[in-house]
Amino acid sequence: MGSLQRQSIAEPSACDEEPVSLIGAAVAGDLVAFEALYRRFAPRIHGLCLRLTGQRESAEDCTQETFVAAWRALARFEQRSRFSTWLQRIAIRTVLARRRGLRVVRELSEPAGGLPETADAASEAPPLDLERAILRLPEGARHVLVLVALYGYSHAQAAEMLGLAEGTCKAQLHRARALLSAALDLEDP
Amino acid sequence: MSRSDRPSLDEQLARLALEVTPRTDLWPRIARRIGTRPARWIPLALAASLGGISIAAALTWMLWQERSELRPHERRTPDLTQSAAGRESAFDEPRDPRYQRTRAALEKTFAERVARLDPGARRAIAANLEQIRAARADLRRELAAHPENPVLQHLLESSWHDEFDLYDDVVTGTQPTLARN
Repeated sequence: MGSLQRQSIAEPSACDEEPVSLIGAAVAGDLVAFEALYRRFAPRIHGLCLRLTGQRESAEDCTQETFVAAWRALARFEQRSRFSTWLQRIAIRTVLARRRGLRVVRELSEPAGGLPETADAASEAPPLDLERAILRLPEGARHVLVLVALYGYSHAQAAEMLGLAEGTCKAQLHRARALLSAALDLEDP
Repeated sequence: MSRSDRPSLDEQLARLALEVTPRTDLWPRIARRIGTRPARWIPLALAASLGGISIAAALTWMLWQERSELRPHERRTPDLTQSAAGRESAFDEPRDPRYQRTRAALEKTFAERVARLDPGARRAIAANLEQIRAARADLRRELAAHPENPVLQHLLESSWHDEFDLYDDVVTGTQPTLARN
């Protein structure tokens, strides 16, 4: 299994300081403070929603729902966890609830077939082919890859959020990595 | 470049940006959903219509446009006995044929998309729609007694926006496309 562990929202870097005063003001009902929190965290939440849903429209809807739900639940935010971690959990729940409730029609293609040629791997820019390959992963494998390999959740945390056994979560990550390696013509992970 | 020269999967994954800015500013809609318009609110419907984003937004724009063009003495009197089916002729909705056509098209698409959803989602959507329409009926009753009350007029207009937003959410949320460029 891969050794990748990213800096995650749950494990913030030193420069990612908690905006305590903004959070306090928002909890007290200050909408301007909440807007500032939205401006700060929306790209991260939208990135998570986009990679989980694979659809821009759904990702934007889920981002919107996340912040609406967060505003309504702010009074219950006890600051035992980081605000960004709390938001991220709401976003994941929103995406999963949407998937269960609306059953959005997806056009997930077969894993490796039909993917474009590999990206210019020497480029410093984010590899677009990898993005596309991730979006084409089967949903279960994509969710685990996004949560564990990109956002730094442990297998136990991801399994709990996705309603999976931890072993299934590990198997899905292994599957995702194998499919990505095949799609990008990389050596086996 | 040979396979072994390429960055590993872990290296490529680590390079992906975790932050992706939404294409449009979602804050105006969020602010409206949570009950207050943001300070720098511009009419969402107008902005969305100019960007060609959605039919629902175009509808709200037409509604907004007609409302701002009507002078007070030209406003139609509400019919409080009107049924839901007859609501199209209500004083607060434009009679403009473009508006009626666009609305009919949106409602048709909405009905088709809703029919594809599971019963639980359909019930939730129907309950939301009923809530919006019930609120509008209450506002109409109050407006009958206070026809020039700007707050009531504003709330009534907002109820149309809410209904179109609901249609829009369902229609866009059930788009059968995988739209990542």
